[in-house]
Amino acid sequence: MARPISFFNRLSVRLAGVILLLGFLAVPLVSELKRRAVERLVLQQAELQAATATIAVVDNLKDVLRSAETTVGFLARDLEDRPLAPREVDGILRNAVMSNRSLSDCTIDFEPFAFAPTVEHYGRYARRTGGGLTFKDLANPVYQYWKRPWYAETIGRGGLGWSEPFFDQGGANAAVARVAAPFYRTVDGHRVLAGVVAAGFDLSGVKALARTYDFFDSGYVIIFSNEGRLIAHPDPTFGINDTMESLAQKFDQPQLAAIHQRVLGRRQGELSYFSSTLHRAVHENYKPTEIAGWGVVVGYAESEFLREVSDVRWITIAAMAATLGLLALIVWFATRQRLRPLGELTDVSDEIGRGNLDCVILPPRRDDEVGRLSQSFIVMRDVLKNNRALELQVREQAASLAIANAKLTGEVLERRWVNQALEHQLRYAQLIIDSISDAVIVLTKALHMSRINPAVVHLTGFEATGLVNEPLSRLVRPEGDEGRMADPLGQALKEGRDVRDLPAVMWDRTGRAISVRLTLFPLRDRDKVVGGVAILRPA
Amino acid sequence: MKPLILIVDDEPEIRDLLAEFLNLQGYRTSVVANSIEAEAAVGREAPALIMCDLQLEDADGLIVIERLKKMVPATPILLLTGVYFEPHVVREVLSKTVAAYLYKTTPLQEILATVQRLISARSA
Repeated sequence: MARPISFFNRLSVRLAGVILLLGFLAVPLVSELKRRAVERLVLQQAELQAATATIAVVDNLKDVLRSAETTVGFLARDLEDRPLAPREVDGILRNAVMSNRSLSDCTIDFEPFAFAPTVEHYGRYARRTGGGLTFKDLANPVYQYWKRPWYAETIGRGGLGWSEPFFDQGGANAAVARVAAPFYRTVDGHRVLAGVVAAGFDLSGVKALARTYDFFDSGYVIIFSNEGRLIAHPDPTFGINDTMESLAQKFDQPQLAAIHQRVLGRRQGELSYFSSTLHRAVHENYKPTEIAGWGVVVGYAESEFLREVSDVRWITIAAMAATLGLLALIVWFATRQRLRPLGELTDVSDEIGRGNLDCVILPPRRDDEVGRLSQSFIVMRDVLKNNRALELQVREQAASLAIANAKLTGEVLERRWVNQALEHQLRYAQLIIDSISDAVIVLTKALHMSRINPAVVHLTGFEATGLVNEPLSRLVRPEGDEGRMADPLGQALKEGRDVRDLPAVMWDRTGRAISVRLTLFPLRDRDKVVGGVAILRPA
Repeated sequence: MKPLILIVDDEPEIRDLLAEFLNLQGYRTSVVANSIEAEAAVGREAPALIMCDLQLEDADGLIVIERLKKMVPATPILLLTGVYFEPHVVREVLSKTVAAYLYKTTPLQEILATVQRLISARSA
């Protein structure tokens, strides 16, 4: 029969279960706390790297932009107070475009008559084409550079400046941003506007620059202009016709507009949000370039870093669960091993409870509480055995005593019964004697009176006590036989004969003689005469 | 239930001693001193055996026995007396009246044997 699960087995299982339960409650909690801490650390690290990357991108972009500014600024200064021949203008343009690969074209345009007193408008334009340059006259009747907004804006600004990105249709045929600066001549001691130097800054270089920053798998760079036009964006479908504001509106992503506004305010910072355009949670660092009013955003998907954390988390949970399981198994095994003696003692107590005092109790294996308990069980069992033996002995003795008592009681009863029977017989015999109206005297073999009936007392006046044990001759004698009465009666008793109606004299208490007839019967016990009965009747 | 024995005797020492002895032997006993009490006791519960003395204070034992036999014909009656009868009296008179006859001088163990025999015979 299968042995039922003992209390101690259940205890060990429950203990292990509690550990598992606590473990499974604690593990996710600890894991979650740890995950959050690790996530925080990882994200902080990522933010730090992104901030560093942002600075790097901005610095590189600034270098490129500054080189374009430097070229244009140098040209503007170089053109001041310097009379030029047409050929020299083309040479300057050539040098400028060829020396700076970020420039797609360059133009020098003069104010009326500033190039030569005889030439009202003079403007030259050089554009990079393949491996060489193409020159163009911008004072031609079609273009008329002095009527172009950029020309007027540059003059109006009075210094070096950047235009918004635009697609230079018919010029560079590429997305460019124009950097332009006015240049001056000194006329009569006055500094007089002489023209405008402008260069097309090729935005493809900026896009390439943005793409080179692959610091994270999910990392990206957004570069936008002063008006928020997208110069570089991870999604190539977005271009200069899109702005941070239009994207913010289109994708309901106000963070983009906010970043643009903060950059306009020359502020840098960071923020995390779910990007609808990139379809994931992103963290973005933004920073103004301080040149051209552009802004740079360096972003990355947080999930890229959290994925590893998540993997680590599950590995940690699995490891902790495995450890807990192993721990629970060890606890269960150790508890069971430790408590097995208690289970055995429980079995022993059951056996003792059923009265089996010959059950085997293993000797203590260790001198601990369980060991002492085992020892106590052994002592208890031995004491119980002794008690049982004593009890059996007492029971046997009690049974013997009961038997003896019953026997004694029976004997006592039997004796009492015999006594009462004798008493009854005596009383009955006395009753018979006492009921006889004649004087009856019971005699011993020696003719002494052993009993008299009331008639004797009545006739003689003697008390019975005064006559018992006295010789019969004191009370009565045969007539004429003074002093020898005993002989005929004694002889009759000796022979076992009856004596009938023998004349005799009886004396009463007063000494008066009364004539009576005496009859004597011998008393026989079996064949032996043991006494006699004398009956006296008045004569 | 233990068999009930009715003891009728005018001597308290005898009936009490008999009752004590029979109780020890596992019988129930009811003790009465005269014929009126005897009839009342039999009326309450028919005994398994009646032990009756011959000489009662208020009546002759044989007359009482006759009356009790009418009340409980199936109950054996044991006559227990101190009066010695001649053998022919026992043979001709008492044997027709009572189931057994014993002298009061009979040892208790013999009385018990007779009691057991009579009760067993009645049960059979």
